[in-house]
Amino acid sequence: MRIASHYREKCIALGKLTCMCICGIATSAMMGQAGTPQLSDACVMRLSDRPVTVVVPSRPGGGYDTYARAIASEMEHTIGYTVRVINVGGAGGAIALAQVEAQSDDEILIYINDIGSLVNSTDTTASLGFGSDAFEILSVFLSEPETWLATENLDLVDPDLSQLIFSTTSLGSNLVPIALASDVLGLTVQIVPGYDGSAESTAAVMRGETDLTTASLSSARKSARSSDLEPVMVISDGPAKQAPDLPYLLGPGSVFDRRSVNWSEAERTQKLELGKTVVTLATTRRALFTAATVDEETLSCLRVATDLTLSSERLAAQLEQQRRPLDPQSSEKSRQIFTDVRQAFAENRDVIRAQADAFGQ
Amino acid sequence: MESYFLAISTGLGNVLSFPNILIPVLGTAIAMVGAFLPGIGNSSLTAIVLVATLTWDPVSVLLLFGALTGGATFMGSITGILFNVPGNASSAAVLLDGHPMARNGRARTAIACAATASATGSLFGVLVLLVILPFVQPLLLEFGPLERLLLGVWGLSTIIAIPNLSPLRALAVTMLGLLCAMIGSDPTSGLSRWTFGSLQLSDGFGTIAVLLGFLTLSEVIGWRQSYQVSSSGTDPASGSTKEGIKSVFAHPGLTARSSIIGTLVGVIPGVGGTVASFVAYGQAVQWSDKPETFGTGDIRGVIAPEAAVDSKDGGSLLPVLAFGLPGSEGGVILITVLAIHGLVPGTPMLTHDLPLSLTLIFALLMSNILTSIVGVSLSPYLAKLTRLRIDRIALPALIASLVTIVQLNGLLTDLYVAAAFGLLGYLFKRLDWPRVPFIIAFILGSFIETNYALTVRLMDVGRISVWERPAAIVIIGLILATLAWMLLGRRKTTKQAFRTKSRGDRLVAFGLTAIALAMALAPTYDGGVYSPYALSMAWMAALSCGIVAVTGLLAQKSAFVERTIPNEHRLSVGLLTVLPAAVWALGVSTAIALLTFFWLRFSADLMRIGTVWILVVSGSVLLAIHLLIENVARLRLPEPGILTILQSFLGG
Repeated sequence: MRIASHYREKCIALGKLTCMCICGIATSAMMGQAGTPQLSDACVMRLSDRPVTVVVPSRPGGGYDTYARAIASEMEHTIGYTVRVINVGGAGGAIALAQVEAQSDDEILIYINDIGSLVNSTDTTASLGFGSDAFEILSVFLSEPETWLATENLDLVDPDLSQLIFSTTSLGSNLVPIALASDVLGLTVQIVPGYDGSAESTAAVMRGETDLTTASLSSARKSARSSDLEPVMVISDGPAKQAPDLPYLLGPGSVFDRRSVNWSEAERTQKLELGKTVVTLATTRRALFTAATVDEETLSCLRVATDLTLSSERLAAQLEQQRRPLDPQSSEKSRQIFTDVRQAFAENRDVIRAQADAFGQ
Repeated sequence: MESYFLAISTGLGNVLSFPNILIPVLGTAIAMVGAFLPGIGNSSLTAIVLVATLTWDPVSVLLLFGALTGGATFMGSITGILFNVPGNASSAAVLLDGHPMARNGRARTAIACAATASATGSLFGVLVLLVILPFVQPLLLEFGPLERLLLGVWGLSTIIAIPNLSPLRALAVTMLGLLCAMIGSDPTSGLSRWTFGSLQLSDGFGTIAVLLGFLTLSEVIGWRQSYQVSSSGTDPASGSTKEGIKSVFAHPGLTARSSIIGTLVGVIPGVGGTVASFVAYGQAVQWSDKPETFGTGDIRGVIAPEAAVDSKDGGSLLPVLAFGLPGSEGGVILITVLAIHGLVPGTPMLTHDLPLSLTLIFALLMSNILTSIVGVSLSPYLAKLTRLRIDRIALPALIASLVTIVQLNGLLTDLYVAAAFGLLGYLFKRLDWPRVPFIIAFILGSFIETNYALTVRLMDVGRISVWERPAAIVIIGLILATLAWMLLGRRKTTKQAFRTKSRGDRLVAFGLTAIALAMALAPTYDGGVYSPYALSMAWMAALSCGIVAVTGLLAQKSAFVERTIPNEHRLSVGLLTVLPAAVWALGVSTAIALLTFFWLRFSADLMRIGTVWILVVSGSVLLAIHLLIENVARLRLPEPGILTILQSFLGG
């Protein structure tokens, strides 16, 4: 493998100028015809001398795999070179994370996953040997709040609401949208973890075993169409952009507002602060990452390439055809979001730990 | 009701009209090819097809994916019947009687029987589906964690029905299987168990890696001894296709019972074909007036599991259509397909889109029938494979298995696991330790544990009670009936079965006891958090293996029969033993090429090939595997260990 990469480097070095000219012209022609901003020649050269691979931390056919293949296909138009997609499942995405973190100088690996999952994995999996600071975010391409899903007759504002029972997959990744969010609303909850996937958690509510479950907003709405369940609260500060008609956690007219009417000011303020943290941590933000060891110039070019790719109308149309929403943020805003999420996790690690202990983990 | 019949006729019309009828044929062909390609698994192939069909109309897409779902189920039974190595987990039951039939010169009968049972089971399953489809939503809601736990326990109880088992050893290996299934992560807390810090073991031992090792590699080790599969002395292709087909219709009650079991098991998400096939096999033994013939080539032992596995396919579509619950990897992709084409699982798919749901179901049925027709047509030719000298196909089978294992998840750990279980399976086979109970327990282990944990938790919060769940009560009745059959039935076990028979036997028993004991004591030295369930399984495994070991100590020496490794197996055992180290040090392709070289070199006299040819073949294997890994499967494997050591040495 080392011999092959050595000869590959040789070939690239020998043909580099010719290849760059041809490909740069071709890329420019394509972009010119599409009328879209182009990647600079310097960036094209920088990104073309190493293979670019998108690493999906799950098996083929799932949501992240679909996004990865569509994004990779569009990125090929952007940079003018093949972008591969590989699936590296296992250990909840940690194996893929480890591979991306350890990428060598002669390749560019891009990792696709939720920001919260990445931060949670790196913070809680000691055997990884690195933290979330080992990664740089390229861009967020979809943000969705977590949503509580329940049977139609559940009224969260009802002051007589007694203990609620949540079904979920694993405890660790769902403590925030369940335990902390319940704490904000002053609700007593029990959690039943261990269901095999979010679909099974939803089925548990349908069967009457549990009262609620959580899911991303789009999944919750899909489940609502297939069953008698409905989204009863979106974990957002204000009405959710994607579903403004649904009840929401914080803000004027929110569930919190109506439940906390008779609370003391001190309690309201404390819970409000916690609520804002919950909103930050409980939003699913699907993003692209790479290792922090990638040099600054390459990273800068990758960010520009990602921005161009994600803002492409062709990509939006392709994902629309597959019923996959797309809501890209600029790389600058994405970096701010990543920093905010990491900070929120770090500041609230003890609170989350206390909740985990309370639920017997 | 009129609209229901109209929907059925629309669905049938969609499948049988021209040119629509060509699409299930295409899907079946793709599924059958996918079952054989080592570098591309079925799920990867389906994902590729998904993208290619984005612009197709919903009817065509459902025709294709229905065929993909049903197309390859039967294929896994062929290798099980012919060579005693199942193509997939759910085919493991067929080889219990299918392979003895092949050895008795009735391979053609067995394959034809399996193909016919497959088609019949599928047809029966679809008929049952059509009857229950209008009521399926409330039916599905009856099956929660409690019912699944009990189904898993019922699946385990079918171990009792496996012929010629020593109860003590069966218990010991069952506990070991349950214990091995728990290695990885706790399903409730997500905390690691018995991984000793290894990230690659976080998801536990891969099921396919364990199966391929335990059942396939352990068999292939013994193939260096030259023999033909059929030992009866008669022409192995002299079995009768007609007899195979007729046998299915000669046992209508058995076929019907097995098909019902398969359909109902398939309806429950996550249970899978393995439970269906073994439960069906178990009930076939229980209902038989001559249970002692099972395991020796009884054709009923082929009919039951095969009918159950294929009837399961139709049932498995119901949770997807009724609720959007995947229940399996194929289900995930199917849900994606439905979403892409604007189809909403649930009430819409069972009402105004019912014709489309039925199109999917009928496409699956057609695919099962097509595969069976291919199987029946090819049975005379497939049966002739038993004429092959087994040592000639040993090396290709070994290489294909190893490559398949690596490309599963792109993890070398899978290969190490497969090699370890290959050696363990070989030892079990040599020393008459039962392998099938281990496999059943391993496959069902995490399913049982997950549903046990959920059931206990739901009972803690007062959400379920056994006495309010009619389905649970029925399954408990079935479990008790199975156990009663065991206690009151005609099982014969000689005293000798309770005593170990050789020093090797004793060594294995003590070795397994030590491993189980070490796992039971893990909390004291690795600081991990282990649930009471996990620890109790570990202690029970240690106890049961310990009892086997102690009874061996008490065995009279006169009862000993020394079991050494035959000379012709020693090379293959040795190569498999060093393979993991070679893979770590030299990389997959180099290690397998070296294995090929040494295998051929030490078989040169038997095979009459020269050194030049050996080098050519080994070099070709190296190149082929390298290309497959790098270009086809595109795996990212770690650098060879020897290079890493050299780099650090030179860098230092």
